[in-house]
Amino acid sequence: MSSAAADVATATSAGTRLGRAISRVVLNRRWVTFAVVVAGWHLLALAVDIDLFPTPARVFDKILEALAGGLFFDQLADSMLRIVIGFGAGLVGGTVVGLLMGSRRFWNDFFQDLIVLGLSLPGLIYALLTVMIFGIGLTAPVVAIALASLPFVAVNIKEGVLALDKPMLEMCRVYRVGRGRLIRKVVAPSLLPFMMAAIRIGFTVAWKVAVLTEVFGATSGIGYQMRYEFQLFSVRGIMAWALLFGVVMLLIEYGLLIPLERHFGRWRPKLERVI
Amino acid sequence: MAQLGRSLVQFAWHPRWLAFGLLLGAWHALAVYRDTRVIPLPSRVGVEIWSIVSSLDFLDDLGASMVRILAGFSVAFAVGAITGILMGSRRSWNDYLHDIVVFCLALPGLVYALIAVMLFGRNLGAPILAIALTAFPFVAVNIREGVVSLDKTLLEMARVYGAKRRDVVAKIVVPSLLPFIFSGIRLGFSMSWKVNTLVEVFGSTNGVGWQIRASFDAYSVHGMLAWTLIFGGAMLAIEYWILSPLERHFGRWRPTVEHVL
Repeated sequence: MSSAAADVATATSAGTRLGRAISRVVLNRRWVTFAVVVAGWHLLALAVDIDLFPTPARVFDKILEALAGGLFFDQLADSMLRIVIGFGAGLVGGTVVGLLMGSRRFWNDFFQDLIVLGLSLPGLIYALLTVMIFGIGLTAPVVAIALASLPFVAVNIKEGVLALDKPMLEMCRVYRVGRGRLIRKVVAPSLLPFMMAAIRIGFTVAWKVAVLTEVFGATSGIGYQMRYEFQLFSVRGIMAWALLFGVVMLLIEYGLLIPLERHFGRWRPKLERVI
Repeated sequence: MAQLGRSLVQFAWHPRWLAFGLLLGAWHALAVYRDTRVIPLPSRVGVEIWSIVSSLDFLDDLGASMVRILAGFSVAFAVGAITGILMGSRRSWNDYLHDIVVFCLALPGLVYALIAVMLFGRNLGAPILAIALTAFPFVAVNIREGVVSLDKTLLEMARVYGAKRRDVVAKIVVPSLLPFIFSGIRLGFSMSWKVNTLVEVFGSTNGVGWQIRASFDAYSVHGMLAWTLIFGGAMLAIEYWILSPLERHFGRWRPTVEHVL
């Protein structure tokens, strides 16, 4: 009896929690903004009334068209392949450079200026240079993505190494903790949050450079489609591809990378709570 | 004197020269190994830079780019500041504007550049629109952080003692916002010149981006590298000689983090 009552109680509380979560999504203020932006855009398009500036409905049609034909997913797969290979290389390279910079003074001085240079070069340069040197193919986007994302990864990993708990490492040495165990139990867990931050930032850089490289030297991919629409002088087409791709990347970031970052960082107390 | 000598030696023996030397060496070797027509020799790029800089014609292009960047960034800063202040001071505005700022941060500058060029063609509207859309979220995010981290007890105290609104703004709000404003300016400015280059690549007949595009079309890697390095150098100079000193100047009243911790 009491357990049945408890079941009912938990069921209703779960129900109200679900209800609260739903109402939080439905009654969110973001929909107001969304409606205002779409309405404003629509009115502006009607007021301007040139073929070049489409109404939201026409862009939406174009989005549906790209989704329905399966074209979007083919192109997305091509772009993602380049991003994954290129960013994988950038991640490995950046991690090695970051570890070296964080642990040895010499390597820090050695790489510092190159990293600053790499951070400040625009993605356009990587895209144009690799296309000119490697031509059209898989190599150009992969090299461009790797080079552009490497410094962002390196900077974050270096910060992680510098933030390692030095007294903790000292203590492990005093108690003769084995090297493998030290890396597994102390170094890796404290580096992981920085690694995740590096992945998140590096990934953002990676897909932006990927699109740029595809504009100048590819025959497929999201960037190529944008270039194609640009040559047709279709603002509508560019907006449709940009919105679709932007939404997919935001989903990856908010649905996958940020939760992962939070998950791996959960053992450490929040900064706000400490200070 | 001895100190000067020591710092000179320290400067000369810095590992950075080794890094630059190795980079140039590897570049040279790669160029010779592949084909010096595909990958130019570093010395060729150096000569190209010298010929561009010594003719002083590059000042026209640099000037044209700077006008666009400044016009666009002024708009971006105004919009970003208003957005950031609204988001920082009212919970409801934060909810209203958060998604737009995140979405604008996420889209690549390329998209803004292409759309702006198609809508405005070759007039100043194109860089202004593209730069404003790219840079305003960076300014907004930073200023929002600044408003959120305003010292609430200090504001409370000012209110209790009946301080005038103008004094509160001039003596408390603005000084504590300044570091955030400056980091917004630095980030936003670096985004601005990158997206402005893109706008010039796709729709312009002068400016540094156009020169890069012309080199690309002429298949001249050395020209592209030369223009990039010149422009990058100019932007780094603005960053190191104007923005950082200004930031340090306006932030000099606050203790540095190292002093406190």
